[in-house]
Amino acid sequence: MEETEILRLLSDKRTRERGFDEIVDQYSEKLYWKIRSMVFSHEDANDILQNTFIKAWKNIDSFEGKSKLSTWIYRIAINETLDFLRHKKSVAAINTDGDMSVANRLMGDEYFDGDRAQAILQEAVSKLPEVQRAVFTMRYYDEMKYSEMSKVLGTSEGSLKASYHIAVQKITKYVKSHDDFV
Amino acid sequence: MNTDESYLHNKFGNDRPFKVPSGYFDDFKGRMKSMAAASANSETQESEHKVLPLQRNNHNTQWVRWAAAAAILALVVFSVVAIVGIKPDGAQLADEKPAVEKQGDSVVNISDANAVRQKTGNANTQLAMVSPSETPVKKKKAVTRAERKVAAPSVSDSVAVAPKYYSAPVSVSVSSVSPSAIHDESSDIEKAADYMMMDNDALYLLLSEYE
Repeated sequence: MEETEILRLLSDKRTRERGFDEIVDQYSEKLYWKIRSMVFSHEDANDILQNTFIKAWKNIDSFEGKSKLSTWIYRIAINETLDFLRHKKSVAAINTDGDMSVANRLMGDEYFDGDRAQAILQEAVSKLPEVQRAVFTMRYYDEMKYSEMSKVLGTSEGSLKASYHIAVQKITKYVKSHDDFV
Repeated sequence: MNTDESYLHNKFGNDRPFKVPSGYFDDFKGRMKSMAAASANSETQESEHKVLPLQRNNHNTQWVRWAAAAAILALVVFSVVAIVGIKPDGAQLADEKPAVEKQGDSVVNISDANAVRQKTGNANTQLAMVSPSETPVKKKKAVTRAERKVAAPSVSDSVAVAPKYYSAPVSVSVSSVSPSAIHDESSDIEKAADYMMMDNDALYLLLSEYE
């Protein structure tokens, strides 16, 4: 279904529910993988995706159509993910019990479908600041255009390019430093 | 694509190393659709039982507040005036004009001696309200020759001496008397002067003028 058709359904209260079903059908998988790339855990990605759609449903009246529907819902998902990561970071700073490395946790995760080298890559990604992590995953895995990323993140294309470049440098350096495991 | 990026792509590719539980997306879509349907139903029920708050119409009640304030202010002012006004005040009493009341044919201010003279002999009956704070001269009553004899009070011919504010009026009746009776009955003269709130000498002087 075209985005204009979805917007037409959303504009009418009687057909709004059907329009929302279309959004879930079209965007749930795309959003899930974006979120999963940043948080690694399926359970966390599931919670964030659910919160994203709940927030979208509650705020569907505030969507003015100034941006594309996909941009609007990507922005909600990315903001939810960034909030989650910041919260998790603050909790981890207090709680030092879970001192297990990301790579080791991923290796024990039944929904991780990679080898040790992939786990080290994800660990390198987890060392990035939150926004840099979002820029890297959107560009590296989804090959999203900088113009699109700029609308989603509300940052200039130049700073996004710089951010991605720095992120790639950091990850490469980290992976190379763990070359023994890779 | 720079060298670092090429290194990563060559080593790891760009596929995500994750998987999801089987049927996860179908379940998720079904859950989200049911959630949206439930939310839509609850919104419909909320709109059906929407509680409308009472709106305060300040514009219509504004004048009532002002009217109430004005009424309270008026009540306070009236109370203050009433309380202060009934207090015995010598200075205030002195400033009061002697009240004059008519019973019969004419009205005379007894404080005016000329009026007394003019009215003497013309008026048969007179009634005046006299303040006790007035001087004896001002208390001269309009008395005719026939009225020099102080007799028992009568209803028709009376001089009401009204000590203002704090005592009941005293009525003195003056009826026709002969001058000789006055000289002979000095006690009556004193009584009459007392009733009229005049000095004996003033009353004698007044009576002698008329003789």
